[in-house]
Amino acid sequence: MALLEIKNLNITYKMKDKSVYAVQDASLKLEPRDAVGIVGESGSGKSTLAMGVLRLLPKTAVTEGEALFEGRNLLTLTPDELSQVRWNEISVVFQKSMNALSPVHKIGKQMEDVYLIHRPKASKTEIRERIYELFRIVNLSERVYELYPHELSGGMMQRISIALSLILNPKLLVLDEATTALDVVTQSQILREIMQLQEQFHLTRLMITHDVSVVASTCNKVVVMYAGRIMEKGHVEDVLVNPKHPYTQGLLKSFPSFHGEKTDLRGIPGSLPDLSVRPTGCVFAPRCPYATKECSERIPELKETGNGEHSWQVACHRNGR
Amino acid sequence: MKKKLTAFGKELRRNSQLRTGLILLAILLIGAIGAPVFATHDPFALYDSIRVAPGTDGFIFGTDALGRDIFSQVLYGAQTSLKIGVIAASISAIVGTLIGGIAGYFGGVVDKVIVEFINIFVMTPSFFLILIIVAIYGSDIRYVMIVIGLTSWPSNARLMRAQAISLRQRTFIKSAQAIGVSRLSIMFKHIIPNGIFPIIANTTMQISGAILTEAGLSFLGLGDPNIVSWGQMISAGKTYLTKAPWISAIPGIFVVITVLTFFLIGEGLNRFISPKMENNK
Amino acid sequence: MKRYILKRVLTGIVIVLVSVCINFVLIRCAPGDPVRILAGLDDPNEDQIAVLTAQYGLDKSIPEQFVVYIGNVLHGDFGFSYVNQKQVIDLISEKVFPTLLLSLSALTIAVLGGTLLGIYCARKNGKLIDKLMCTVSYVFDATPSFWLGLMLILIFASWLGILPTSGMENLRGHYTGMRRVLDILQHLVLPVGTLALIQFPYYFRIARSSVLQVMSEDFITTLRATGMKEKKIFNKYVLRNALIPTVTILGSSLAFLLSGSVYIETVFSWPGMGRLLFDSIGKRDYPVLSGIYLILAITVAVMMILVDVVYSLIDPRIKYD
Repeated sequence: MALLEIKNLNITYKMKDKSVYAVQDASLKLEPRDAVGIVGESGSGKSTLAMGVLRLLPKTAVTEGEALFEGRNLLTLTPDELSQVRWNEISVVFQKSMNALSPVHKIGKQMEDVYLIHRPKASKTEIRERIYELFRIVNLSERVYELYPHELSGGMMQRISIALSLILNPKLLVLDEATTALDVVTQSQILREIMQLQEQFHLTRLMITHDVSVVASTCNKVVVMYAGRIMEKGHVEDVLVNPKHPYTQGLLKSFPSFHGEKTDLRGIPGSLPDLSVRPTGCVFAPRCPYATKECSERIPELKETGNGEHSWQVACHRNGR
Repeated sequence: MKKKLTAFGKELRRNSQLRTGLILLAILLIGAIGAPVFATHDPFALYDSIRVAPGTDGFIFGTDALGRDIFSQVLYGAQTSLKIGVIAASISAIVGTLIGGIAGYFGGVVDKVIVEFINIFVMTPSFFLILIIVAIYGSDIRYVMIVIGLTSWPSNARLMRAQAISLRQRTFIKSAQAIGVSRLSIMFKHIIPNGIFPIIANTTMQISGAILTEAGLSFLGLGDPNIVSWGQMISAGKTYLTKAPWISAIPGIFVVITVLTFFLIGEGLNRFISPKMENNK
Repeated sequence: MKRYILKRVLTGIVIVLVSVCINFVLIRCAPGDPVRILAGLDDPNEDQIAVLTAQYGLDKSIPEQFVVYIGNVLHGDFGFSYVNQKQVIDLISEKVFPTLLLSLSALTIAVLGGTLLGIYCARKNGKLIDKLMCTVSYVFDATPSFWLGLMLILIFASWLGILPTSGMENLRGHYTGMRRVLDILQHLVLPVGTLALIQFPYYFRIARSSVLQVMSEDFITTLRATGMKEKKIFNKYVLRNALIPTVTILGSSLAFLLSGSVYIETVFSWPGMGRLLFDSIGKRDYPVLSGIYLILAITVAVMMILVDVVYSLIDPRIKYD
């Protein structure tokens, strides 16, 4: 059974005068020990998708569809049931780690509070031992326990966030742009540590990032999103090596090659469409160099491409032609 | 310009605070400017009907203890309140913009000294300073306006300083510097015009403060005796509160409405400047 | 920490010095003979002129006069009120208690009431009660305190006849003990109520906007994701962060509070410093005016230092230099 299976997820922000269709008809599967990267520009709905599944969006966002975690639909759990799943089973490392903890409470005390939510009978020494252990795992000194968030650097706070996410041995770890704000050296260090932790604790990992290179170097599967829709998904060695969707191709061209080869870097001309207007055809059609009349009239479905071992899915009318 | 006007028109349709405020302001202005036309009586004349209730003998709001017509006094009082509010707040805006602009744009030691000066100034009890100055130097309306203006500039200076600090990083300022435009002319031609909007919103709020302060001074007997002021009217009715409550009540209601008008405009302008605030709610 | 407090104490001393200078300059630059201003009489007699000239060194140069003036102030000599035939400092100290009783009661009610209402309305953000309270707070902010006082006297004393009109106690009653306390309490209701109504909007708005701001911080999302109960997030994390601004403005609101009590004491004939100030204006008793101004400046400076010390204790982010 898949650890997490998202089926036909739609997320709509209902505003006073309009609706914004942030995620449309998204389906994806995470098998145990998978490392799945969702990649896309800002505004592609990748974060909204993850936060919607975790039910962390503001009340203006309406989430429809199914998000089955070990067979239970997260979207219909009662608040108490949801509370049990949170952090015990699924934990998150957020984007702005500098603001991830309360600025006026000591780091150690906040971690204690989180531990106590799910282990209310834990003794002081047990909690402290656990937190020290986590600090060792992420290479922080025990001294950090008594410090406040503003006394640490961005990289250290990111390690704190990772330590906090591991505190209850969750099955699924969601990293929402977790290394974006860091410098390149710290970023690669932390990514390496994350992969080691995944091995060590048998984690399943969902990475949300705009950086294709992060996905390429740390994930086994990739989901490419654009304007709230999934464009292409499959194994990294298929999708990123032999991209079928024009958007994926464009995205890859806008990043330096992973193998150090010199290719021409360029962005994709045009900008994201207005998400409050429901498109009649492919959302990427207005920016697509290969767009035909069909592309603006009919929404392409995700269809199999490749064959046998190397098969994946792509939502493009050009597929199979 | 035309584009800006249509944007403003669009804002007016959406922003009910700004709309209500501007409508009220228009009514107040018509009343104040048209006071000689609308006044049914001479505001200073003492009529024989003493302390008559609103509506009697053609006195719309009644008369006070000396037989003066309250309606006409309210109209002329609006002139005083608006004049004091606008002039005092303008003085505060000019002083604050200059001091804040210099601190923010020039930076360095100048900035440090000015910031310390502002911090100290904010901490001195300015209301009592105003009281003493007016008590010692006399309660001429011009003094009152100047003193209120000169004690309320720090908030404008802080806003302008922040604006200047962010503006001086921008490319167009840097290129002007590179061409060799003098610092003073950059400040007056680029920094101040581009950073003025928050000061306009704050100044609108300060008009409210100045009107309240003037009403208070007049109530304490420190108003200009040669003009009609709502504060004086409230004070005059104090002794007859039980027998003729309208003498104090009516001018007070007008103070509240006038102050609210400027609050609404100021808040509306603030919302116009930073619409993000609304989304957070 | 020590350096921070030392710096604040220095600022406080500068504030007092500046106020002393302003006072000196104002009286020396006043139109007419400074002796007349200092005497507070239009026609001081020869003896008075001689005494004042000696006391303030009026026959000496301006810098020398300034030194003499500072010396007098440092010795607690704030001048002599010829109108009242008393030392200014004695005159003021008699009035301190009634003013403190009035203003501190009002401050307590305004801060507690305004803050609690602000927190409540922030939780009901956008609902009818929130909109209503925001409007009410604006109306009270726009209301002159003296006029509100008069209207409350009109309603509760004249029409309903349930509360006394003015004064601090019933002087004809010659009450003692508990009876006297009750009598004073009864006299307190209207002036304290007026002052509290005028002040609460300030604390209401700060608490409300601060709670809303904290609720939108990233760390709140982290805590929600951990499965912490909303109630605990609010009571432990939101409140602690949101109440910091309220504490920081307490110091600077003192001047605002005392200016309010000048009007209230005048309207309610409350025998405090505000009433003394009002009477002194009427009698042109300048030594008393300048004495009250100086004492207020000192009080405000001391309060500011105290609040800053408290602030540095509750907010770990405070920088020491």
